[in-house]
Amino acid sequence: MLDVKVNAFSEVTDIFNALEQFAEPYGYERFYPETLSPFSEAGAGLSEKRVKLVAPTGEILLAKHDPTVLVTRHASQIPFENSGFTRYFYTTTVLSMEKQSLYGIEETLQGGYECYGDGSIGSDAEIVHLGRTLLESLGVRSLKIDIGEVNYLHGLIDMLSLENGNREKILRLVENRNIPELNALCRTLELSPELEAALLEIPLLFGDPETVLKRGRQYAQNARMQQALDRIEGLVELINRMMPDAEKQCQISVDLSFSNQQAYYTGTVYKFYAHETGKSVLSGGRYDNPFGTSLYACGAALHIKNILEVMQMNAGKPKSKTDFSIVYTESAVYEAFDLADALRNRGYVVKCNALSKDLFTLYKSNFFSSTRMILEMDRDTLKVIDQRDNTTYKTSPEKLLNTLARDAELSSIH
Amino acid sequence: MLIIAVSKGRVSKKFIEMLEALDYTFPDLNSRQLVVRDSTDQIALILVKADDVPTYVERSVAQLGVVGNDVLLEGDYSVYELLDLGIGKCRMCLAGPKGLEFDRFDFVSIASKYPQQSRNYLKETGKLGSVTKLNGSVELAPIVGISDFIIDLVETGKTLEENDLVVYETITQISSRLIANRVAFKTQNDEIKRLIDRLKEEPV
Repeated sequence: MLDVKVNAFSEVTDIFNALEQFAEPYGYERFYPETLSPFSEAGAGLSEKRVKLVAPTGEILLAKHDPTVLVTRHASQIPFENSGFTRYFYTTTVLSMEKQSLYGIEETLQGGYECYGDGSIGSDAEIVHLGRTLLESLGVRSLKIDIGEVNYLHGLIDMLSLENGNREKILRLVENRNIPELNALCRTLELSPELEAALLEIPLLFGDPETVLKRGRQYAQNARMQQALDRIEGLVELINRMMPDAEKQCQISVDLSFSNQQAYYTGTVYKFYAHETGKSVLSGGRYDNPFGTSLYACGAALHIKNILEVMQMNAGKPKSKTDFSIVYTESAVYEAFDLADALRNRGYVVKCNALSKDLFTLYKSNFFSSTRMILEMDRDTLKVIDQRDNTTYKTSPEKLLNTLARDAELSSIH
Repeated sequence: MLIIAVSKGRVSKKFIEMLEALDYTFPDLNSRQLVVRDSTDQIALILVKADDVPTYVERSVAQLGVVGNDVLLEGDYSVYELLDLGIGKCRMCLAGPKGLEFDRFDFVSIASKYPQQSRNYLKETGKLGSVTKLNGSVELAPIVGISDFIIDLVETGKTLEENDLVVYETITQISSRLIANRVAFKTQNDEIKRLIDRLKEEPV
């Protein structure tokens, strides 16, 4: 289990720093999501999960709302002639109502980047390229990238003349690849053989781009479906051109079953999975015309917890964060503090604690697990336990400092 | 290797028979182990409680799972439901003492192992009502006055009959489904698809 508050926090910082480092050269600016925002900004279908507060004025506010909604609202309020193409990135925490969480509220880390004003596949390709670059910098190299287009499925559904909630039912069944129930539903809909065959095939239309696009064209029933395939084809070509080495590390696949149940995405959808864990590490897509505007919009969010999992798998044993742990008896407190100061002045990380329990008990606990050298200090003696090579010897503070000064290897402990 | 979480008991017995008919053999089957592998190391079965199967699959412990769709309907699981295995067939029904008219109730009390399905049923029929969750012997509820009706699985109807209860409506058909982890379905698709194709050919 990850303890993000302590152990993984430096990795979280690495992720957020990487986002800033790689997004800025693409022209992304940092967006600071406000802590409280009006309830009217909840966005369709999202209000149930949001944490709400009642202000003294009686107004309902959202606490730590989804930053994508806030950044998009901001971008949509700037006239295009003033902004042209805008790009924002954000790193923050979000609150949401989750029954299984302590207190029923969950706080999650969120980082992402959004690009506005550009409806071309170039901006989609840029989102994918940036995602891959920054994940690679974090050591998440072995990726599976799925590209989809919601208009393929929706183009077919438009032809089915559905009623009584069957549209939502089909979207849910395709999303869950619930083939037995989809079969059963088809039998009740009296579809033409072509439409039925296409609908039953869609959950299976994923895999290598060439094959899937070819099969997808066989089942395309109208211009909307064809255009969705054209867009994916163009995007995959562009991504391959932007990332010529992708074949070695990334596996790019096409998935035509993205159903967009939440009616959020309007076009291309991308999802990155890490091979090491099989979990998604980034997802995003195009959501043009947000809030009834004519703004083009696309972006992606990082799945921080899943990225941390890969980073920790790759890191192997945790890095030693402490150079010296000094444990001292009551009579050696001054000497211990003097030695700790001297070591810190030389750039070392030093923990200094009274020996309140015996050394063996401390060993059994995790106290020394990330320490390179343990210094057991009594008034007359200094015992050094070097955890790198399991050696133990007695010395004095002066001799130790002299040895460190001479020892070039030790001076670059990190 | 494909790891498959299977609901312990009748379903696992039947599913293993299906696999054996496809020439997989499980030498450790008669031991009390909860993980059994086939002799060629292509498949490992994890035998767990039915309610836990979707969790094992959702959390990537197993790539595939075998569980009744009653469990899937009751929870909100993010898994793919790929194949109706046709085993463990039964019906989810509204039942109650003889002579009742559901439509004449203004307020309906229902006892069930499936509170979510029961609430959905009340919603769909537009009735006000209460739902009591029971973990077993649901047929007792109308007899001892816990509820007017029950929603439960009915296979032959014999248990209902013995307790003077009758089926008023079949809500849905139930059978064991092959489910898949969403990511594994893509990353190990060749192996999974091969197994599905073979299972489809196997008559239940």
